[in-house]
Amino acid sequence: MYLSESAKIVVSKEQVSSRLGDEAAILGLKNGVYYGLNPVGARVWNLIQEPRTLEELHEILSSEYDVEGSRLDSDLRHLIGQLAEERLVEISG
Amino acid sequence: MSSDMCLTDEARTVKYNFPYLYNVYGIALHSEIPLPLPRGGREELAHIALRNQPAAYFEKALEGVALEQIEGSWYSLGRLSDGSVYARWPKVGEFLVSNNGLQIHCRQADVAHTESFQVYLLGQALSFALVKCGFEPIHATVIDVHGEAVVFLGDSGFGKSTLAASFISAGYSVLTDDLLMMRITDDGILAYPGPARIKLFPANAKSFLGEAARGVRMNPDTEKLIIPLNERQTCSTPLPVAAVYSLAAPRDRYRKQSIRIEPLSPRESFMELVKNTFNRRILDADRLTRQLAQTARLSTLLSVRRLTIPRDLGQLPSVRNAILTDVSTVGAVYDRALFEAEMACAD
Repeated sequence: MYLSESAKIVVSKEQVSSRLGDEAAILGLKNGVYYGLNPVGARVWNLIQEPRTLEELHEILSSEYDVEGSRLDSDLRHLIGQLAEERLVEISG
Repeated sequence: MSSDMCLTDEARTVKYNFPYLYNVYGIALHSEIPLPLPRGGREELAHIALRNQPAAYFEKALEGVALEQIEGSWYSLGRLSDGSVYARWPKVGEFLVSNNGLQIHCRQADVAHTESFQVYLLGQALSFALVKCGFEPIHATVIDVHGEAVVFLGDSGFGKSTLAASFISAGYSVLTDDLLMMRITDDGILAYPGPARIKLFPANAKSFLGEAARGVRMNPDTEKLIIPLNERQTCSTPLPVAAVYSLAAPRDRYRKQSIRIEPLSPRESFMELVKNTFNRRILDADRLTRQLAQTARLSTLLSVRRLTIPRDLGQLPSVRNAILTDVSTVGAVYDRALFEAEMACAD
């Protein structure tokens, strides 16, 4: 899916989630399916509890993790794409 | 999993006038029919009433209700407009659970063995009532190891009961086979005792419990037997949970392989616990939200371990020893410091 740098990403209202140590579990309320997030995914999930652009996420995460910019961008787009596919996030703009 | 989750205030106002009062899974069961359960109703988690009804009662209740039959499941389910749930196992019995879970109406099929009917009553049917009461029962078999509960998780056919039978043969006792109720308390997580029986295939029953082990078939479509356990083979008091092992699926196990015990992360522990939550037919948002919260809390307090064992009954003594050794390192399994921190947060 195409995701512009300025698009706002926020968690969907049709889910509930819980922190599990430094990881997380999400429950999709529409389909009753559980999803797990590893520590990095859980950090992203925590950040998008309020609307964030891809650019903002990139900036925060690049200061926290030792990762190449292009790799971070690709992983971030992949994760947001998966979350969007499962209707766990809303994207506007 | 919570001391105040059920509608106990309402329950206290109900005038129970039933001939029998039992205690099972920490529940006071007021019953019109006799059951092979300990008498008395120590008020621990909830009161549930069990009423015997004629066929006409169910026919009337089901007027205009479409029955669901899910592929792979052999029971029919009906959802009544008032929130009650109806479940029927052919040749076993039928059950109607009230919308608040506080009453179960039941009828044993004419052709059913009483023991078989009771297994479905105290397992699947009661699980509807427990979920409606706000609990999250777990599909598990639990043994008593020196006064602490050791929990085995896994789907039917994964070997939970066979492993428990192996422990019985070594002098240990069973706390519950099939349905587990747990509660988080100030002293840790408590596991409650179930009925004094175990479900085993005849060959496994003979191997571990001896020639004298007798039972009736669970239902006409399986060879699995319901074997009554004696006082020495069962534990009838709640026990603190020491360790939880999730059995690997039979397809991931081989006859010749080493015994592996691997600690799971809180996320993996959560997934194992939630996968083994009893009753996948009640899936409304309220139940799922509660399930997430309760299971998440449990999974941060209990580190679940994945247990992979050889597909060889002859290896079970070695499996037992590996588990007993692992349980003895209980500090690594049950995080007391984290538990106390969680309890402080809850306060």
